[in-house]
Amino acid sequence: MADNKKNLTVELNRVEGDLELKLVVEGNRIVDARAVGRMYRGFEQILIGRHARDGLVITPRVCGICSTAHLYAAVTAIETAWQCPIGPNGTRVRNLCLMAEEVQSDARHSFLMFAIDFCNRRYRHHPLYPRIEEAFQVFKGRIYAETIRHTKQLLEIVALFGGQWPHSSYMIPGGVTTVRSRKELIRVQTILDSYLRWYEDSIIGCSSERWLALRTRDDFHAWLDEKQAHRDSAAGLFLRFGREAGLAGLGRGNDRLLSYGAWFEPEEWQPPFRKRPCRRRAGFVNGINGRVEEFVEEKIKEHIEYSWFARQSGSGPPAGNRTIPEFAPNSKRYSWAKAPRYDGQVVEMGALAELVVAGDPLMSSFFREQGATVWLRELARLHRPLLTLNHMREIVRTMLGPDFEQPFYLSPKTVYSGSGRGLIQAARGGLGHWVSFADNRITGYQIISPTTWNASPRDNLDRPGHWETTLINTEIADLENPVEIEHIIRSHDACLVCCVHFLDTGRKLSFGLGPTR
Amino acid sequence: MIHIVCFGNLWAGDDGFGIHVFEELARLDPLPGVKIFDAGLLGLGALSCFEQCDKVIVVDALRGSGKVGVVLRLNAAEMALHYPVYSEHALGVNFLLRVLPIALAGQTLPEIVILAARIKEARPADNRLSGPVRAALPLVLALITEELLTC
Repeated sequence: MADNKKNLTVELNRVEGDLELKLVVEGNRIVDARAVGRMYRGFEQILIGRHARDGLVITPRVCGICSTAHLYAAVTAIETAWQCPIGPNGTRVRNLCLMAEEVQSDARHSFLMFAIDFCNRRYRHHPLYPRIEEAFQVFKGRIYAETIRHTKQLLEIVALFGGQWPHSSYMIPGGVTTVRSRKELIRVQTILDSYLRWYEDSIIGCSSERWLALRTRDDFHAWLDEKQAHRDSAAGLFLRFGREAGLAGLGRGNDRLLSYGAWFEPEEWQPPFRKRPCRRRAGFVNGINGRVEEFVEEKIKEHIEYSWFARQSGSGPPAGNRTIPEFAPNSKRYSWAKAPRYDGQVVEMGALAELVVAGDPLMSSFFREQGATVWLRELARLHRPLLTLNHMREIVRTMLGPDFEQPFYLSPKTVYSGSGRGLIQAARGGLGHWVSFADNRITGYQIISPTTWNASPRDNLDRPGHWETTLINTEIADLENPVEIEHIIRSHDACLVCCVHFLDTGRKLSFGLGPTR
Repeated sequence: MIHIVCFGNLWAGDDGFGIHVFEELARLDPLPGVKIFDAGLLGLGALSCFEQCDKVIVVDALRGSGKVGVVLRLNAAEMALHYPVYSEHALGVNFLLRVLPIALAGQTLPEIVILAARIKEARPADNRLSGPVRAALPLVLALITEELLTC
């Protein structure tokens, strides 16, 4: 290795799991990066041989954060295999619960995971630093505390339909197990109104109507200048500080964005399930001309050249692959994550991808200006909750009206052998479950989570994964305190527990939950 | 009202100790004034398990140096003092205990007791306990009984 090159191993937590980054740094620039998923999950092995519906109970336990998403993907995989109709109100309830999980996840990401890094000693001389500490400091910040209290209340919606959150199993083929009264739907409405009031008062400092009128980057800047309350809101402070910290020029990938589409339309999402009728459309932004192309499921493939899985696991479409672990620490392979690719490309998943693919005007305007950066990913997670809350309130209004009489469940005909797939948008991006079964026993089960896409290692063509791409060529101001790396990785709202067991090369830095002082 | 809140990953070997305790408790006849929770991998999701009760008995596995299978009885302050504030997953039980006063501001906090079996490691895709950790089950169940009787 040249004299000015050094190896740096960075452990990151606050990414819902275990992640290690192996970096080669030349001077202060990252010239190579490997994202190591250290944890082996093994859910695929757990499910082989089990009853065809056991995935409904077991896969929500893949993760304690996006448990509803896994349940939704698992039940959808069975329904596409059985080709059974779904009660429209069952889809509405599923959507409501998945949305609740997403909205609280976005706030917890922004203010319990990401904003803490603004309290890093790197920024202590910035004029806004005292305000940042007052708002976002771990355990002590005002917004930190409010986020814990208010997001907890939102999850009552999932508990109302599923009995608990997470790890509930109320979604079954054909619909949901619970039929709620109008009184309980009004309770949901009350919870939503309360959360929205907090979000308007504390997070954006204006009405949701005012915020949702922002359609361009110029509109956003005008909104910031319009009132002190906007600048002083949590979002205003967060985004102003983030821009001044350089986040709009940090962590840009190749601008290829993928979304499976969010929120199936209840009356249209029915057999044969060949189209994807989603409120937020599915699609792929190819990174060259910015156009949104149609999403084609068959373009998803998994590579394992650099992953700790045996060759007989297979490389190709997920439905035909298996997951056979083969830990090989002294080889070129370096991660428990596989390398999913779409149309042979490295892609990014997440809130930003979902909204740009869906054609959100505000996000698209900024994306054209700066591409997919740390700052824009964070704006996406501050913006998306307002869109989703609007839609949730619309669903409840619909269910309280004549649509209340629509079925929550349609009894299906069991199919004993077959295969199916469930592709949905979780809070962190596209989540896919592929199931095959014979005589009512699971013969194959594959899961590709959104963080697997983002955190993937190199592929069969030696191309770095998305995170690795965003890190390479990044300048680190202080190698003893590489906060740039934390911003980049955490901007993806990583969840390694869904994605994915250890290394020692050169110097190792560990980053805990609190500010590094 | 007493809540017994059992944490752990059932599919990660000894990490699932708390859930094995839950399964033993669930076999018993329900006791008046006692609720049992399978809190699984809940971090902040377990906040509601600490509401509307006078005492919470937390059951979990703890990684640390020392003999595997030893059972520890801690309060929240001792937990914070002797163990890293944050689990490897960064929003684990220690974090939860630390944010409780924030999350439940304005409410009376319950008394919290932690009963934990020391483990060495988690084993993926395995829902069985190792011998020494399995041997700790009866002791933890006895300690739970004692905690209930002293209320």
